[in-house]
Amino acid sequence: MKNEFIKQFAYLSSRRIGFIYSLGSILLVSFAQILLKYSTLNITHFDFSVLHNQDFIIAFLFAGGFYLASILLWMQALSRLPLNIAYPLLSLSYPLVYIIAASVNYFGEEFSPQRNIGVVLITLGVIIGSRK
Amino acid sequence: MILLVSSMAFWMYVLAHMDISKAYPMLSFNYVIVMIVSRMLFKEPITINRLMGMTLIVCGIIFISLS
Repeated sequence: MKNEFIKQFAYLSSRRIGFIYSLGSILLVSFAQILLKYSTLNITHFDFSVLHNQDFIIAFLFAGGFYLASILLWMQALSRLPLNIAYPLLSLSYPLVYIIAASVNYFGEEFSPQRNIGVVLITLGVIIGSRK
Repeated sequence: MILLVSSMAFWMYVLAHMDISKAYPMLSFNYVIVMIVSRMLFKEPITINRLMGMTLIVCGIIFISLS
């Protein structure tokens, strides 16, 4: 009886940790995208000259680091959460990136009704589509 | 790996020319492509939920492209 309880508790807390890992992973992947956008802000045309642009390289490498950390966290999350819960969570990244990009003036982007509707539809679509 | 790197290069190009609040949600078209290709190559079934989800995604992308 007591053993059962402990097992149940361990299962639930491991799921909670998985949940936290997956949210962390989603945050990181969203920030990585924002950083990538940031890295391109001062670039007018893309060619090999960007390799000499120090600001670009630094932002790009940081974004890469965020990606890597996000993947590691995601693997930790997947080992604790069932895929049908973890996968729909990924779609949270769409509204997250949109909200960050549109609310930080520096990017010069803005909210619009069409984009709001579009992002909500996409998020719902990923959630529904990931069910069997 | 080559595909991933070229996808990254294309993506950087897109980011340099387009609002990320517009471009990033459009990445979700990926799901639609994966569904269609896995149907064609691996004969994976397209369930009702998948179909509804993909329809929503396509509608969402249309809305975003209108903005």
